[in-house]
Amino acid sequence: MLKKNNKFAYLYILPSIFFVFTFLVYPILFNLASSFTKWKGLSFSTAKFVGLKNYNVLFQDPIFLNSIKNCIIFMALTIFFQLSIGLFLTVLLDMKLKGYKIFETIYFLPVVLSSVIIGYTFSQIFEPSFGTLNMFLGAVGLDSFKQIWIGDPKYALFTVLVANIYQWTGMSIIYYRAGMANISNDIYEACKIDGASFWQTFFRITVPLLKNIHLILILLGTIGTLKFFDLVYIMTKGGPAGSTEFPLTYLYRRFILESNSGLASAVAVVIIVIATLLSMIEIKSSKALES
Amino acid sequence: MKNKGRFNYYKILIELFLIIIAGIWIIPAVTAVETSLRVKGIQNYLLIFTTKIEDMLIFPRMALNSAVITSVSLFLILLTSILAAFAFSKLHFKGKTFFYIAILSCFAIPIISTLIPNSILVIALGIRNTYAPMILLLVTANLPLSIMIFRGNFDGIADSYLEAANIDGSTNLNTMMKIIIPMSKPAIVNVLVVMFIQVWNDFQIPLIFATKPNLYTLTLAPSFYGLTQNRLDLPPLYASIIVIAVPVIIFYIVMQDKIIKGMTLGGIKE
Repeated sequence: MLKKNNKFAYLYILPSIFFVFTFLVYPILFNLASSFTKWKGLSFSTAKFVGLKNYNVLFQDPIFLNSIKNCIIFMALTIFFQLSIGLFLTVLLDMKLKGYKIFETIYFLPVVLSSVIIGYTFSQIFEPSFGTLNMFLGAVGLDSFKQIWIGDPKYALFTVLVANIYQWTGMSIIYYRAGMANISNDIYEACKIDGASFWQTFFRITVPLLKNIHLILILLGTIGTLKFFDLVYIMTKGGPAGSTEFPLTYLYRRFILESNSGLASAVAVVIIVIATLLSMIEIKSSKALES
Repeated sequence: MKNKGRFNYYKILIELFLIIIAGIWIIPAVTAVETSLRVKGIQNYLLIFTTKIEDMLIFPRMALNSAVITSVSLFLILLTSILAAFAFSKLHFKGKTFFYIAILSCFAIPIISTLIPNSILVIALGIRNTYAPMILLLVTANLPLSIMIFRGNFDGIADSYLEAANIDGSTNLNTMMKIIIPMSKPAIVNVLVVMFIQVWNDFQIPLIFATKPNLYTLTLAPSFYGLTQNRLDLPPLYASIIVIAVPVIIFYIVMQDKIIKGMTLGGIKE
């Protein structure tokens, strides 16, 4: 019989607990404490207790508030496009037309590439003078549509969004493919017999039956956007004029460039709180899904 | 018969659409290659391999760093997460749910938010200019996902194996090593492959903790080549991008099935 309280089990989880508590939990607690101080760089001698001052500054800083706004807008848009384009492509690939495996290989490739590769490549695509997009617009006579893209506050977020969608849509495809494998073909046969059109089948049958997958992808997407840093850092560093500022780029800037450790800690705390809430929701949802 | 004709037309349209999408998907690659060949053509690639810092060839060094860091991290990740997943899946102990949720919740926490305290810790431990900080953080960052996937996998292995082995006098450790792990070989390979990609491609952790050029990993190569040369010198930057992308693409094509299975293992119960 398996023991009810196996003391040895603690040994099994000890290494994991060590890593997580040393490099994640201790930092969280540290951030909490240091967020209540005014502090420069890393030397403790400059630390001074100032209560909630950092949080005050934070929530009144238009750049920080803008970073939260960008995060939310970006989250909604990237999830919407990744899922819809991904599902649509999955359904098309499911028809198993010629070369469908090659298409899937191509669509999924960006997922395994580093953000560094994708970031620089899209910087070049949106580059104003000789970048792919503007050259293309010029070639088809749409010169008036040319923009500075990355350097323009109106369009910068859009460029990062496109790069992110490119990178992650493939992920949606493989998840939806796995989900669709669980949908019995009989349902689709019945639809055909009843004379349902492609779109009717798509929206009334396929989309609802993949509820589980939608949820998983949405949760992965929200957590992913909160952790979003690499692409922005490489493509725009949060500029121009804060139009692509994200919470993490804000944190990075406050600490690395301004040595404002107290404020950066406060940002970290806010992000961690939101992230923890989100992941608790995820764990609860996945447990609810299982039952 | 009329139906068949319409259906074929429909199929061709879709095929065409998929080809166009694939074409769009390849555009970034074409862009990178085209930019990398500007001005000096193939010379740009030679530059990547021959640049030196203080008499040391930098590119091979970066490749070595990536290789060492990745292999050590992967070894630690596998060891740690398999042990933990086994305990969470098959053993019973007080606080099991608490610890499990605590570890999993860490998945949502961005490593950059731990930047300050971990930097202090690293300096205090005296491991600042070594591989150690990067390895330790890469392991920590990827443990939650790894544990979650392995636990899901072990959950699928009937408890009766464990019980039967126990009756036969085997310790839990023995059972884990001689029965559970061999049964999970495919899953272990799939996770290994996914973790490899996560660790190899990581940019944030080397960005913060690779303090000197001799510690840089391959993910820092483009930034390096974009900076040391004249800032406007794009071709070497993109040459370095192609150079670091090619091995990953080859790895992907060879391991595609395993990568895909590994990534969906964590999310879906068949």
